[in-house]
Amino acid sequence: MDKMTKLNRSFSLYLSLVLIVLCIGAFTITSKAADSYWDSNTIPSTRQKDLLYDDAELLSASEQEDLTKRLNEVSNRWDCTIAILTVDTPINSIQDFADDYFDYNGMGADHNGNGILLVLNMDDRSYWFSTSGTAISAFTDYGLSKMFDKMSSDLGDNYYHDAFVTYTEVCDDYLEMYSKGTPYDVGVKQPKDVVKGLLLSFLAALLVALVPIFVMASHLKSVTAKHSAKGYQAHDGLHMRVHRDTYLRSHVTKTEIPRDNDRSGGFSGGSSTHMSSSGSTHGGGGGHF
Amino acid sequence: MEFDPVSQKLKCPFCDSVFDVKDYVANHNSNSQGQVVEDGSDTQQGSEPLYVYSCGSCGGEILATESLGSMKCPFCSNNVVVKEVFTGTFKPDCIIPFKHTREEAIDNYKKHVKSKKLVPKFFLDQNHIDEIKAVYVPFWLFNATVDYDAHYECTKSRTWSDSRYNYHETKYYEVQRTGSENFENVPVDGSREMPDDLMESLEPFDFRELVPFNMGYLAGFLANKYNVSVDESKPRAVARIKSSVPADFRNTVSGYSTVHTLMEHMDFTKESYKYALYPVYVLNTTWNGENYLFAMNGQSGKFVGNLPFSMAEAVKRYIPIALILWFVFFVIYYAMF
Repeated sequence: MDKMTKLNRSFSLYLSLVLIVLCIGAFTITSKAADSYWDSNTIPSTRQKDLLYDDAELLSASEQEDLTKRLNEVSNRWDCTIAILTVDTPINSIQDFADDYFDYNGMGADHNGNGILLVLNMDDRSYWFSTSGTAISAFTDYGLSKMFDKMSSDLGDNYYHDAFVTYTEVCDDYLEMYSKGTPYDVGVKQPKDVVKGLLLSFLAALLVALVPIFVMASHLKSVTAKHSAKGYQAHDGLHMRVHRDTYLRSHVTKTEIPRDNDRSGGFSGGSSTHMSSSGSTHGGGGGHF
Repeated sequence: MEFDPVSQKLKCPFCDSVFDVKDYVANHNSNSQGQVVEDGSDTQQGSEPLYVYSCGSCGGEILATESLGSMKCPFCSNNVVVKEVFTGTFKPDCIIPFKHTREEAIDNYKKHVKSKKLVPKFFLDQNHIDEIKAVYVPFWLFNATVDYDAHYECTKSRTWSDSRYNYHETKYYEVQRTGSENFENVPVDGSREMPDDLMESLEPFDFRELVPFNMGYLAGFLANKYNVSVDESKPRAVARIKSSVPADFRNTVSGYSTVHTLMEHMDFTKESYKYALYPVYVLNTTWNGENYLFAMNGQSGKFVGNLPFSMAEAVKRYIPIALILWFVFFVIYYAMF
């Protein structure tokens, strides 16, 4: 009996050790450390990575080709790098990660440090826009949040190619507006909004105009049957013989008052900036999809 | 001799002399004194025959004290065919005489139609308006006493809170109401030709102005003889009373947040009825293959009648409204976004 338990114990110890080693191995194989995405913590003079780096493998080869073409087009047109990075790894701060990726891979090198990078992290479904140079002013906080709104349903439905196409198109629009001196911000309207406005108000007018018509039509009917004998009650009214209200019992329930978390929202305009680890200034914004 | 609604007396249209209705009857009765009238009614004079006009199309029977020649049926606009001397009994208990003149009826009709924006222009055409007829419509008036007994479960609620909790207190009560309610003169129309909902829409008729029936009131007017019996009419009065009684008793239960009826019981006692004539101006029109019947309460002047919907008129108004709203909404959108 003693010999058996001793053997069992050492065997199970050995087994658990093997399992631990395997787990660590599997873990290291499937996820990369955050800083493996750049070679060193210095800002290079040329761009080190492609405009589109789909490390999380969300896109097919043809989709990647199409997107890369679009990214190149818009970047060259406005002298501002438009880039996309997808990863699937646990990251502490996606903001720092995005800024560092941009700086340490020289993503802005082609266009005087101007650029915007969209990072998608499938590990926790978080995203971040990192801006640099003139892109900080072209992509305001409000503008970035509106851009995400346009992409959110596609991202939620896993239509990544469509979402990224929207990204390139909106970047194109925003840079155009910036070049004209009015970057998209709270209170600034895109020309597309006017068309949308005309359409919405037209539909609303069609619906609401029906209301007075229905009101006028209802006036056409003046014949209604009378369902009660109201007005025919005798003047002496009700003769009440028993009028009794009896108290039975009472019942008290109490519920705890829930604590509310304050959520601040609303944009006041402009672009907020911060300094990244490399010392460069970055703007941007993000959240979860 | 015609009954004049303005003076409420019988007026001779030629010499303007005026008679009280009661005197009119007395004078004529003296002629037939001693003569046994077969139907035994003392309000029907032997020397003043009553004519009945029957409509072959809708079956309506109209009575008149004078021979009117050919006439259109007030209910369906078809020509009335047969005219006979009326030999049956015509003995209403009471009557509300006409208070509004025919001119007032025409005026009210025009006002009623003009105020409705979506009516086809046809309804303002003069030749139809001329066919307004003054008709006494037969009604059964019901009196009843209803015994009622109900039990309710009621609650009173109160909420308050302190820094940590919200409190909600509910108090429960058992409430009882037992008693009786009297109803008088609940009207049910006794004419098959007059739609019940149209007649009910003309309410109220002020039954305090009911007077004992006298043939004199009919002079110059038409009367419709009843063709719906008391027994057929009673259920409608009962239904209306049955819906009023619980509501009236429920109104005496007050001060509670919720009231729920647990049990109720209704009993009809002391029922009686009267046969009355109520004054109604009637106009009917055909448009687009459909018959439209309008009515005015001859006592109060209230005018009712469903009018048809004209798509042309509706579109004429819809377009400018929609255009203005479009402009307004766009301005709001532009200012906000």
